[in-house]
Amino acid sequence: MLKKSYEKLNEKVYTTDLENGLKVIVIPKKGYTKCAGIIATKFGSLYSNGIINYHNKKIVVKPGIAHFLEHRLFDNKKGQVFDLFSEIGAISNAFTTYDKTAYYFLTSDKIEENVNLLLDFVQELNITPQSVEKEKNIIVEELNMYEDNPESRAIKGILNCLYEYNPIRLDIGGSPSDVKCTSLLDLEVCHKTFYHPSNMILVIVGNVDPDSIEDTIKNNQNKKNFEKRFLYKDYDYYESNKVLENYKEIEMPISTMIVSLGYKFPEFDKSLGAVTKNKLIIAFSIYMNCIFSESSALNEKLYSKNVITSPIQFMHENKKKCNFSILLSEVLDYDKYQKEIEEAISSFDAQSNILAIERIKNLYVGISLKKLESPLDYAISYVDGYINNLDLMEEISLIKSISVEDIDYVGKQFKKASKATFVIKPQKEKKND
Amino acid sequence: MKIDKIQINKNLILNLVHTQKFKTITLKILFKDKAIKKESTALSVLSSILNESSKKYPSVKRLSEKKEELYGTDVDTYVSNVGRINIFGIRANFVNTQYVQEDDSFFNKVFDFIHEIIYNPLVENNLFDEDTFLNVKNRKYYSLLSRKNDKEAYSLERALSYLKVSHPIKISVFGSLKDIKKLKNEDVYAQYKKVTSRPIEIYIVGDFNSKKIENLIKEHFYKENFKNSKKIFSDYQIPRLDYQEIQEKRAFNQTQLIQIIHFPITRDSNDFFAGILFNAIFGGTPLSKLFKNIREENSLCYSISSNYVASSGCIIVSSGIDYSNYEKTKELIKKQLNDIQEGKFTKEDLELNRKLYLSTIKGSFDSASNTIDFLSSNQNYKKTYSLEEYYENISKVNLEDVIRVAKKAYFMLEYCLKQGKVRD
Repeated sequence: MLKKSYEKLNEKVYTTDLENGLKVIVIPKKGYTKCAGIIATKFGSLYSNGIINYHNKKIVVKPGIAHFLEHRLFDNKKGQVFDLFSEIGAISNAFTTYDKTAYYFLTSDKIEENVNLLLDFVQELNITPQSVEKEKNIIVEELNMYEDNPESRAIKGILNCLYEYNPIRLDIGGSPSDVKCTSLLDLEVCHKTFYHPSNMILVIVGNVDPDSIEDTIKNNQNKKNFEKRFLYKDYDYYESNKVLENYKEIEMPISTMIVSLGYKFPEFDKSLGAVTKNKLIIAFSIYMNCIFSESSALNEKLYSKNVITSPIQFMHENKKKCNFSILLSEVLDYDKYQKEIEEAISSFDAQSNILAIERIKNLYVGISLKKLESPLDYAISYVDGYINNLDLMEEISLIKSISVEDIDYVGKQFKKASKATFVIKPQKEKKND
Repeated sequence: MKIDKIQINKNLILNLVHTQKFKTITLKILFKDKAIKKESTALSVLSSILNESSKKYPSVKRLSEKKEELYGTDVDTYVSNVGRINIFGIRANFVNTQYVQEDDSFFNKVFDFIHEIIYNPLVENNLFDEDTFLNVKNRKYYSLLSRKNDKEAYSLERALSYLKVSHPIKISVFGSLKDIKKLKNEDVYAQYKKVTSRPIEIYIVGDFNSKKIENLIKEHFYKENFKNSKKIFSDYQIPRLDYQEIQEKRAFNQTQLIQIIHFPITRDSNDFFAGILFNAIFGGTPLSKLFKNIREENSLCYSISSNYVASSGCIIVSSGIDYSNYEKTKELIKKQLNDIQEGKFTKEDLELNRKLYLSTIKGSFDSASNTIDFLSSNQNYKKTYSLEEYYENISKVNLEDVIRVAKKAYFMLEYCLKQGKVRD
């Protein structure tokens, strides 16, 4: 395996690309009891509505199917995957995001068996029409659970205001009707397309020997034949840089109004390299921290005037064709909130925030270091970085390289962004308690 | 991992856990006393005031700026209850100097900051700064209202409120809406005085020089005065109550079912380890009967689990279902308990759950915070176990033990928060 040392971080990373295309990363960590193994495919909800060429037939990737596959793979022909891992002393789980589906184990021994099991259950789909039907209700109840969560409704609501076609507007799990019409063929075709080793990465973090892990993985993969991948093409659409809807509101059984503000930015210039792009993504976070976090003048004002009841939550996403930021807060005075946010954005000047920017860069250095602690967080962060073309080990130097000009660029993006508001109003209920 | 326990004085115990695993250092200071219902709101407000102000950093803004400057040092106070014990804690997590090219004076800065938050509050004439107090109180009021938004937490609180008994499990660490309105600044200050005179335990995990850290602790925390108090223990068995079934309704999409099971095996009981494995087999893990039969086999729900609250001697089952399946789900859940009581489970069920549990415990030592929780929770009970003893006890549990403890379980309350349009 190719070894790379990072002296300042006291970390060593071993990499290899297998013949079948699987990318393998091993990060030995002395002293840890546990070893985490994670395998991820570049297949999440943002692939919805794309087209797979299946023996010259066009198959549309249904919304929610990445998540459905995640559920189904846990029923392996050898048994329930949770049980199989337990037999060898490990816990296992999986998750689906916008841009990936990931499966992992966490174990304290029998690493070789765990790695084999992880590869085997993820690379082999075992389904019958009955097992597909049975899973549907479980997934619908999962979606219902999120429907009752105000925060997840607020995010979904604002994304639906921001985007007209981009699959970011869809629930990661799809809608109950998407789930109900998912077929066995849909699942099989997606599995063959996206679970091909050349679309996947395997990361092992723990007290392990890289060479012996490499042998295990190679032995496992050499026994398997993978059919040629079906061709996949992203959903083709034209998305305006303007938001779809400026304002929308719904009611829910909540106590205080929740306001979600969305800012839609144009896609980054396609000519930008991965490093510059990732640097800008970090710059968005630093800017938002500077202007909206608890250390901001804005937060102090909103608190002292009783405009909000808890700190503003802020996030920025830049994935595939979307580039947006969201602010989420419980709000007592809607008009004042909108006015103060507007004012803070329009009056922002990077030059007069040099000290704050340096301080917040320190904060992000700390956050980056903390990702390298628990084996599982470490492995997940590594995968996240890989999918976004970011070398996790270079994150700190990237943070340090951010300049006032970068923050100024983000400030300008915010000033000219197309903006939407999604409000969840408290529903009047009969007195119940 | 090497653990040094240093009794600095009668009321101050320092636990140093040395490991090179982490890039950060984690510290917890625990102030323990008896949990008292009427104090919970004041304690909750006190924690927020300390998290938002101090003499040197009199606002959220100033405190947050300092945390950012110190590479995102997380420092905050929190309140938690374990059975009879109330813990007022301060936790801090900060990067180790070698990774940010700082020298040892960085640790001084961090310890000064931690000390500042707990021991130099924004107080004048025995009262907290009035504006800060009113602001925090107001926001606490809204955050208590918002607790209704979380369906599962809300259902659990409602379910517990129907238990016709006074018991610490019913005390919410967030406080109550009823008390917040009449809470006075002097009540909170009185709590501050009480909390800071409690005996303390300090835990530090990371890669550090013991002598230096011990000195820093002495410099910062030794001088404070403590009230001598009697050692209290967490265990407090909830009494067995007559069965109740409660239904309420709110405009959610999904119905939440909470079942409270009387399970008279507390942490200090000899059967505690059998209790853990019984709960694991019943509903505590994805290998459990509840997960397999209610979710996987009958597709009745996505989320279902049982939580063993050992210090109170009860088990709480929570599931999110469609109301049309309410009766069916309830009966199937009860059937799972009956099956265990009648021995209808296999040796393999026990072994798999045992392995999973041991694996989870082992893994907790890869997290500094969980390491501290494991070590410190031992202090809440009459019986203390080393990690090895803990493993050994779990390893000894057999099928008969599980059946024996299962027979003690009794459903005493079923609470259903029914989905639907309330205004219909």
